[in-house]
Order: sequence, then C-alpha cells, then structure tokens
Amino acid sequence: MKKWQKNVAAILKTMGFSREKVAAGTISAEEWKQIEEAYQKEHGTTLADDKAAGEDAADPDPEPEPEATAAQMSDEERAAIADMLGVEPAQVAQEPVAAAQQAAQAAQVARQQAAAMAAQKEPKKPVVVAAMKRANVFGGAHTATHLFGIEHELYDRSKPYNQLTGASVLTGSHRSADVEAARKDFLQLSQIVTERYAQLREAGALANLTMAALASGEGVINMAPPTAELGEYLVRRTDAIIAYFKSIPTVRGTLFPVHSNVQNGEVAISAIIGELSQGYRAGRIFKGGMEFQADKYKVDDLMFKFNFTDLVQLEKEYIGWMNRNEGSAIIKWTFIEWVLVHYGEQLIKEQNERDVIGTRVPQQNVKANPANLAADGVLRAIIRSIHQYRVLPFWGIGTYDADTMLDTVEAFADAVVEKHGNLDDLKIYLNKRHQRWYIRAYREKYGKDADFTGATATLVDLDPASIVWVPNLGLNDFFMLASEEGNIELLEDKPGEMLNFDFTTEFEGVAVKSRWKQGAHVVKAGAKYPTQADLVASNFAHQFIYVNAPMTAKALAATLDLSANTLFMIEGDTAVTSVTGYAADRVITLYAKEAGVKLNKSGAFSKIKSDFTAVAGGDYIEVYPELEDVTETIDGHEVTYTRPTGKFLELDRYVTSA
Amino acid sequence: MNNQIINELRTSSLAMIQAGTAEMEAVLHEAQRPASGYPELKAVQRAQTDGDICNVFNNSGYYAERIAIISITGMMMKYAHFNWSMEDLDWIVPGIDDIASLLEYAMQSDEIDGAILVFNTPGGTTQSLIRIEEVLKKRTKPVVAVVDGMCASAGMYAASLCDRIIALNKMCNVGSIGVMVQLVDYGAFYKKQGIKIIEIYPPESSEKNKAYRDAIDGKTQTMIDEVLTPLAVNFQSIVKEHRPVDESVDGVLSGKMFYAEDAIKAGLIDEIGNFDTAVAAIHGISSERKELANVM
Repeated sequence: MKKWQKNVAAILKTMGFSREKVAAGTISAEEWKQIEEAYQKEHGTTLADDKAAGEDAADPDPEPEPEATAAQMSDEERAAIADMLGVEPAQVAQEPVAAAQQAAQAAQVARQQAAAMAAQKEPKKPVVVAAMKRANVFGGAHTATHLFGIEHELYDRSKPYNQLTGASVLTGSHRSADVEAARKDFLQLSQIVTERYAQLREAGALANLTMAALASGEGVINMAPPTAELGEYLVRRTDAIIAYFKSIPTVRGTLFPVHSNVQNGEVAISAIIGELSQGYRAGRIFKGGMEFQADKYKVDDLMFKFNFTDLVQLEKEYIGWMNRNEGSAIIKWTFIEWVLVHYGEQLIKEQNERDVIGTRVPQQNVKANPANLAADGVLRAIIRSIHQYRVLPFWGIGTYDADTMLDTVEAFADAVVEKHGNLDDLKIYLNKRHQRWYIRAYREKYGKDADFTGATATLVDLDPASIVWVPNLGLNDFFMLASEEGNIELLEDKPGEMLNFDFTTEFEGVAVKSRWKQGAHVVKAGAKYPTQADLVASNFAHQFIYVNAPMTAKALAATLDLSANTLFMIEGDTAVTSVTGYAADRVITLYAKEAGVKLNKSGAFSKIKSDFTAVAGGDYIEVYPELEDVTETIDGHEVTYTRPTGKFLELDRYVTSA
Repeated sequence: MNNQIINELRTSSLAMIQAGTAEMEAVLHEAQRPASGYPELKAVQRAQTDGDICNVFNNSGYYAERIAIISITGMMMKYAHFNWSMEDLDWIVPGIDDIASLLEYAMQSDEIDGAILVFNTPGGTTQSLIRIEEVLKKRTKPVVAVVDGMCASAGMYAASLCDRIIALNKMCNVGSIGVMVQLVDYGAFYKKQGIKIIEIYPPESSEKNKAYRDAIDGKTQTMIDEVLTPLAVNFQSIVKEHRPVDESVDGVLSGKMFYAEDAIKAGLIDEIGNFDTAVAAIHGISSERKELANVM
C-alpha cells in the first residue's frame, strides 16, 4: 500500500465516507476537492505531490542503486547522448537507459532554455538597490502594542503567545482559537524564513550574514520581495534566525559543497579523457578518446514530525530559556521564533551527523527510525563508488590505532603519490576523532622538522594543519580519503526546505513537521568498470579519489563482536547466533576474505534473504539492525521506545557470478 | 429524471446537428424503457465522433473504452444558436447547457466510466458556464479536458474543473483568464437617421442600468467595479482553486495566452499528449479510486 492511499483512506473515514460509497464511486468532484484540501491541511503536502512521490506506507524502499537497474542503451539513446555531448556515438559508454534518456531530455530542455533566454528581452523588474539605512536588527524596546516596537501582526502583543515574551509569565490561554492563531503565525514565519533563505542564497548574500554583523548593526542586506510586504524589521528578524542557523557549525557547505535543486535521479555526467598527444606525423591522424559516463544523483525523502502534546510544557521551556538568557543573550526570540530556532537547531545538528555517516535503509515500521539511517552521507557515497567499481581501495592499507596512525597515513600518502604523481592538487581527509592521536605522533616524530623554521617540503602535505579533519565520524571509522577539494558534494532539493516547518493543531497540542530531500555524491570518482577484475587491472588509471581499505578482520563465530568497526573482512562459515557491540544506527558491511566464506541465514542473521556464500574474495553483504517498539510503564506512564531486536536485515549484497 | 434528459436531448440542438440522427433516435427509443435504467451511450458517442465536429477522433475505436467523448467547439453560448460561418454543421451549434446535459447523462450511465471533453473554443459568455460548472462539480466520474487547438477564457474556466487538462500539440493555445465587455453606442447612428431615443428612469430606479449608462457616457469605472472585477475575481479564484497555477508567471491570471509548453510551466495544463493519454488518465483515476475502497 502506498503512503498516500493510507492517508486518503484515513481522511475518507474521518470525513464520514463509507467504504461502500467509495467502492460505488459516488463521491463527487466537489467532495474530492474537499478531501484533497483536508489532505493538505493534515499532511502539509498536496495529494498530487505524495502520489508523485509514491512512497510506500509501511516500508518505503530506498531508490535502487543505479547498477541494480542498469540496462543497455539502445542505439538511438546513444546517438541522443552523443548528439548532446557533441561526440561520436561509439564514444558514449554503455549506461542505464533511464539515465541516458534523462540526459537527452535534460539537454533538450537546456537547449530550449538557452534559446528562450537568448530571445528574451531584459525583464521589466525594478532594479533592487540595497537599502543603506542602518537600523537595529532586533528592534527596540517593546511598545504598548508591539514586541520590540515592530508593528507587524507577528509581534502583536495582544496575541497570547506574545504576552509570554512581554511578561515572561505563562498565559494559561489555550483555547482552540488561540492555538489556531499561533499555528497560522508559526506557518507564516517558517515560510517567510524559507523564502528569505532562498532569496539570500540566490543573491550570494548568505556569506555576509553573521550574527556578529547583525548584532552590531552592520548588516545592510535588504532585498525587495519579503520586505515589500512585511517591513524591514521582520526581514531583519528572519535574517537573524538564518544567521543563527548559520552559526551552528556543519560540514554542509564548509567541508563539502552543497548542490541544490536535485530531484532524485538527476543525471550527473563525468568525462574520462584519454591520452591525446603523440610525435608529429603529417596527415589525418587522430588520437585520443573521451568517454562520458552517466551517473545518477540520489536524494532521499526525509521528514520530521513532532507533537507538542502539552503547550503548557512548551511555554515553561520557553520561559526557562528567556530567564536563563536574560541579560546576556544578544537576541531575544519571540515564542514562535524560539520554537523555530529550537527545533531547527536540533534538525541541523542531526543533519550534520547524517551528512557524514548516514546510510538510507528501508524505513521500518517502528516509532523511531534512526536519523542516521534516513539518507546517504559522504562515507556512504564513497563506499557506493567502491561498490560500483569506480574506485579501487588500497587493499594493503587498513585500520590503525593511536600508535600506528602516523605510519599508516604516511603509507597511504606514499601510495597516493605513487599512483597519482603528487599530492599538490589533492587533500587528505581523516577522521577528526583521531586528530589528537595524529598530532601527538606527528610532533613526536617530526617535532624538530616542523618547528617555527618551517616544515620540510616533504612533510607539508601531512602537516596536521594541511589535513582536512572530518567531524562526526565514529571512533571506529578508519577511512582515509585523498581527493580534490569540492569533489564530494552534499545534495539537497530546495534550499532551506528542512526548516520550512508546517504546524498543525493536534487535539490540545500542536504538531510540527517538515519534509525535505538530501543525499551525498562523489562528483568525480573514477571510470566505471564492469567487474572487480577489470578495476584491478586498470591499476588506478582513471581514478580521481583514493581510499584505504579500513576493514577489520573477523572470523565468524557463534557470538560475534562487531564493536571494532562497521566494515569487516570475514572468514570462516560458523553460524552466528548472536552479535554484540554494534550501533543501532549504522549499516554493517561484511566483505568475504576469500571464496567459500559463508554467512548462514540463521541466528542473528536469520532474516537475511538467503545464505550468503562468497564466490570470490571481496564479495559483500550489507546488513542493518532490525528494530522493535517496546512499551513499558514507568511512573504510571506508558512509555514506548525503539530498540534493536538483535537480528539483522539485509540492505544489499554482491556475489561474483560463478 | 430520465424523461427530463430524454426530453432535453430531443428538443436540444444536439439531436438536430448530428449526421447520425437515426442512431440517436435509436438511443432515445431505447431510453424510453425505464426498467433497464439508462441506455448505453455508445450510439451517442458514435454520433459525436462520426459527425463532422471532431473528426480528429473518427474511427478511433474508443467505444470499447467506455468513455464518452463530448466536444465544446466554437463560441460558448448558453443555448443552441445558429452558426453562419460553419456551413457543414447544419448551421446550428449546441449550447453549453446542452453539452452539460449530455455530460450529466454520461455521468449517470452504467456504460460509461468517464468522459473526455474536447475543447477548441475562444471562450464565450459567463452565463454559459452556470450549468456546466454545476455538472462538473457534482460528477462522480473522471473527466479529462483535451485541448484540440484553443482553450481560452470561458473554455479555460470549464476545463479547469476537469481532473486533468491535456493539450494535443505543443502549439495549442490556452489561457486568457479574464473577462471583458463590449458595448456599442448606436447614439450617433440613430441621430443621423433622425431617430431620437428617450430613456426615462424614475428616482426609485436610479441604479438601473447605471453601469451601462455610465459606460456609454465614458465613465467605465462603475462597469469595472460592479460587473467586471467581481467576475474576474471569481474566474481567478475558480482557476486557483482547481489548478496548481504558478502565480509568479506574468499574466497567468490576467488574460495572457500561452502555448502548451509554457502553459504546463504556468500550471494551466498538465501535459502534452494524445487521445490515448487522456483515455489512460481516466482509467488511471478510476482504478486509483476503486483501489482506495480496498485499503479502507
């Protein structure tokens, strides 16, 4: 059953339509219209959008990996791609048909847009001039009628929740009309913030927006559309919210650039250029080839839904925050601003972690699926490129500990230089949790060479300051990566979408929710080879990123301890009864050390699809913890929480064809 | 109800205009047997498709699809009227009220799963929309609008009440969401002919025809405020309510015409397709709704 079907069925019931009436098809167009409106009110998205998304109700499968749907291109499709790229059809690699079609369509659209742009006259829009008026972004003192003296309905002191801000006492007013008014204002504010975010981003003005600049009255960003309707103060207040969100450190847009407006399945094309030059000879002698390989950007749908069951509790939290910050905070949020900031901050922090270690798995039918299993992060994007035979890891360079880290990194750097030629255009990315180990060892070994007289030339690349330290990796993530900066992108659909909160009334409380898309992608990973053997034979020739092989060796045993890593190189065929030491929010990948290694469908792995028997070394199976809801009575309250059952579900596997 | 429809069909222009009058008569004859409920609409449909109105769908073999195909062509007038410019149509064009009756008839038939309204119209009178709007809102089966040329103004109003709008070609023209009135002042002409027209209004009727009189006097504001703006606002709100219109597109709600590709971007239509697309859309909506009963 699809999610939208489930939702519509629920709404039909609520609105009093019987199953018989639906089956008889006697619902009129007018009634369908009301059902659609109720749907949008209830779920914050339109029925048409949810239909298009086609999400399953209980167990939405993630988008299949591109190779899973791979099919060969027809001659016409190859010709279309070749035409778009301006090359001979023979130079276009065999790729999934869908990708090729999308590329052709994208090219068609691009051509039309280019033609339209060329034909278009200068738009008749007024020139927007940055207003140079300096005003305190936070407004002044409260007036009798408005908070901060901002004469806008959102700051009207007659509204109960604004009385909270003005007087710092509980309103005790939770009539449905008040809650409904608050809901409307919540909605208005979060939409304005999202629009403003997109506007600032488009104008390239986000970089100028900092809390410090705004607080000192130096921020002079001011652009027409939102201001035109709502007045400068409100825009400045929204800027303050955005600046606050920006002040939360994240990897998004700092370590890894963000690629916006990605719908799922958008085509990413990378070109592999062959050798071109040769000694001069007269005549028509051409050499060199260019191969284009299409890949798909993959983004997943995420959501956040939270129900404030007790508005009084929420008010108390707010007043607690007001009191705690009294006098020292540089900005006072109104109640609705505070809710946006409070929950937005938490979502940003979760997204920050997911951006690095997240992996999308089918969502389980439990109360709380882990945030890190909702979308793919950078680590997953790299593993994906290994599994797609684009990137060959250095198999000889694996995990490390505090004592061996420096030597392992040096071995890695040597290997990269051997294959790539130098490290000048690459950066080395390491786990920030291991930074102290590295610095200690580095100073101990090279203290004399790296003092204020300057590090010796050979050590520049490996100086702790030259390394990009990636936060949010687990203690047991031993990935090393060498890549051009900006080569790994984080994906999103609409900028600021995650923070476009929708608020709905839910009995005596208020529910808040948002929905967005995100993902991660390696822009240039390497040429895609059909088999592991071909990749190995290429000897890193067409590879743009370099990684180690950070798997921990593990012999299968009745009780398997998986605390050391999330990537294992397994051997043996002992049936596993139970597994210990794993995290509920990480995917575990088990690589077979050699042919014949077998993971039985029994015990902790009784829910994988079938026995996993490796045909060659490097075959792998990916699993993730099965979850269950448990309800317990604590202090007379029924509390439901989600925990792993101890069994594992299968995400993916690869077995070489025998 | 049955008799009412039959009578309407008998007396409306529809029965007169079609080449297949004999078939129509057969249907009507069948229809007078109330015990078996509504008659099958195949013959009516054939009369529509085999006639000269929508030759696009001649011999299209859609009888088996249980879909009624109904055309809205030319100027949309409430009642049937003579058409001096289209000689091969026996000079009479059905009124939109007749079309609405036919559509209602189709919606009530057990033989029909949905309808395709084929539009090629520059628009028409606001009164022509009253009955078809009601029928489209009360219907219980999917109706897909197909634009075979132009769907403007009142045509767009009616089409926006359908489940989907499909243009048959990228150069199909849609839009013109707006209203206008054309007044002719014959005063000077009559004066030249020596005719003097005297209009007398008692003080109790000071507002009567005021908008018209003001406009003739060159003061158009009353006409705009009291007649045109409410109509335009209603038109806009109907379209906004039923279509995902992108209001940021210049002129989308203020009367601009769009070719099909731009109309898709503006949210005025759903796609460019063909007759099969429309048939598939109807079956899709039908089966989607039937499935819902299974999940309830």
